[in-house]
Amino acid sequence: MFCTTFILVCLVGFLRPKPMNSKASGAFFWNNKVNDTNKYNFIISGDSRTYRGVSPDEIENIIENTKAKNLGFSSGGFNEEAFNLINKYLDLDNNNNIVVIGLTPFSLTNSAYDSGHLRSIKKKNIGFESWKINNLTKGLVFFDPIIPSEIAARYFGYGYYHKYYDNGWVESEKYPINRDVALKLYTKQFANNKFSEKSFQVLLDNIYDLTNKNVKVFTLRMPVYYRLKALEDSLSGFNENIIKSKIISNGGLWLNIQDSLYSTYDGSHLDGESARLLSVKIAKKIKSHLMNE
Amino acid sequence: MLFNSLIFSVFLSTFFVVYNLVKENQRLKWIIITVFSFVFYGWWDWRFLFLILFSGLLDYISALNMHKSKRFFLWLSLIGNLGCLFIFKYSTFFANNIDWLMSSFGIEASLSEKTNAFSIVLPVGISFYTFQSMSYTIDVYKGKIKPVKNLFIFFSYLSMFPQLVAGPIVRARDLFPQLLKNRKVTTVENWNGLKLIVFGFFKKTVIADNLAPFVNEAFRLNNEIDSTIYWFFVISCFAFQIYFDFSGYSDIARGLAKWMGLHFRLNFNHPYLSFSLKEFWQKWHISLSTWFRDYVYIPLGGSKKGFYLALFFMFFTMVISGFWHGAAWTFIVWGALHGMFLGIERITKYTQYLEKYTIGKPILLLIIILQVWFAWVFFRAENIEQAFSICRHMLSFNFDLSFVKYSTRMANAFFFFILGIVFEYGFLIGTRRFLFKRTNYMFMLDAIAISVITTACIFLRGPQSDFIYFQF
Repeated sequence: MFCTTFILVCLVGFLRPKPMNSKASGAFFWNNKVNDTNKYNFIISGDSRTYRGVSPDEIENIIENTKAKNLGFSSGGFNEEAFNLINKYLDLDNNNNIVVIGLTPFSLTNSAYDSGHLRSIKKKNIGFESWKINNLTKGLVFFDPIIPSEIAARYFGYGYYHKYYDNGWVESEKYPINRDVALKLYTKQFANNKFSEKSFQVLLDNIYDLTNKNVKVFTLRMPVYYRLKALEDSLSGFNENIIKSKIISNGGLWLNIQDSLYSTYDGSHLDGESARLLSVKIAKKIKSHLMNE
Repeated sequence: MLFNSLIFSVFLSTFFVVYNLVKENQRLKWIIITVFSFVFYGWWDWRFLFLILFSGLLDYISALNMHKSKRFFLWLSLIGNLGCLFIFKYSTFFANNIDWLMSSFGIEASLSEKTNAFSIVLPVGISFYTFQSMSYTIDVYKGKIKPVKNLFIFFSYLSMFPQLVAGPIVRARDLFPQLLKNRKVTTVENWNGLKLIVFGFFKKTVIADNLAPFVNEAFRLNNEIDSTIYWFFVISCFAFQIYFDFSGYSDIARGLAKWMGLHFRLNFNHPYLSFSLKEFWQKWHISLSTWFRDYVYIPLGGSKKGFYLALFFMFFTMVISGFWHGAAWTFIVWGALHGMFLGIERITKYTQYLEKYTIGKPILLLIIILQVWFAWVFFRAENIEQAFSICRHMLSFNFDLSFVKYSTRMANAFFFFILGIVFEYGFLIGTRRFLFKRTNYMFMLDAIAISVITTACIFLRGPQSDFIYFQF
């Protein structure tokens, strides 16, 4: 019986369709965001648009001697906890530290300031739980559950694919593409949740602190579907020009990004190819800035 | 510590290694069962160990001293146990309702603000072990069993980890004789135990856990879809979720008991295949329904005090049973609905009438399912308003199918719902005629079935969640 079970498990494990979103990889990925022991000299911070939209690998390929990590979290904002995490990973003895902050109108709201996702991961992934995920979960990818609806979804052209990278990036694709999905969601989201001066001030203070530690802070507004950008501008209270000028006056640098070059699958998040393209663009702009210094 | 967790597999392996080493020594065996059961329970919150210790010691001492003053020690046990249950499970409910009642007279009572914060956290399985403990003293009081002198045999009975937090509720007169015996577990018992455990895990992790996300989402967004078909599907999924969740737990508990050389009675026996509500209650959570029959309905007078009083006692017992499940009006209404349907069944005797006809049986099956399904709405709903709103949707005859669009949760729910039907009713297609006689072939088929089910548990498991009945 044990032999039959073993053979069956091996057969199913090898022949099964690859999961669209591996639970085990996901668990390892999030744990690694808060419990990684390595140091980095290039940190990318922001919300889900950032962790799906910027690939550290592309940046490392363009800027030499760079070790990059994406520290984006779902609905992530810029509170002290987020900056503590950035400081934890930066090697402050090194003078070539760079932080890239991916701004979105939602990331500067009170709701994002709570950064519930980051807090819940930090709270959950401690001690034995973290050890278990770090040491056992990667091996458990083989045993990821098979979701029957995914088999049907593939056949009908549906699916939400996630590929997790240890450096904090999630390469995502969603079918069928529907860029209007985010419009409804954000209309609801911004009804009672607007741009927060308090949250923005914390961001400015931290940019100021980081620049005083010789860290270069680049900020950008993450590209989205043009209709969503218009909706966010009209509903969220996010004024890009004012934000940009205040960041610059606090020592930060602003990267202008042309939205039309990138495509999203749901109006809000970039697909894998666009994320790579954006990462290359960011890296080239930063490299050129560093060379002109 | 959940049965379907990594830590439990470590715990279980350690337990059986130690248990098999000491099982020849009776006293040591009881100590090991007690200690491991306390570790198992304390894993949730060690502070609640004091509660189970208090409840257990109270009943142990009450039973031992019952020969001095029977009534006093019975009342002491009942007040102590029900008092604990009241403080930890019902105080917030009563405080909220008294507040509401007083505020309707313009009086600000604010009792809910004053209830102890500790009582807001419900100790896992409190209703199960309290009832099990009480039944012991009641049985001693009635002279059905003699009190045990060894404290560890008593705590082995009360806190035995396979059934501690979600039953089945084991009777002292069933378990004590088994604990006192030193018997060898046969290969067949080990084999049957393994089968029960594997099938139990399949019910819980594959069927119940995969239905849960769809049901949870439907109840979270209850007003977004009002199609009758949709809500019947949601409630059908919930009916299967709770059945497979709870019967899966019971199967695992029974399987583990078999490995320990013990026998727990069957707790579920295809309840959704009942032709009367009475039959449903003879097949659903059998250990609890017989508990209520023996310790509430019969002591009230049962059917000996006339037809109408018997109806009232039955209704009262069902309401209490609902309240046992949870401190909320939704559970009380759930119990009351069952009491009402049982009353109608008893008064009209329509089930006996319909059973005479060939077409009657399928009609009865449908009627019972409808009754049980409508009652489940109240059991699952967050509040009474939501329950009534869902019932309205179910009765609105709105056959709109626009909700049938691609949704991962719905597609999964549909798949696992069908799998649940096949798993539950597969025996109806008459597989018996294909069975071999008790030969090696039969064990071979069993082995293949266990392998397939184990593989399914690994690869078709749903998102891990608590067993539903833990909250009771």
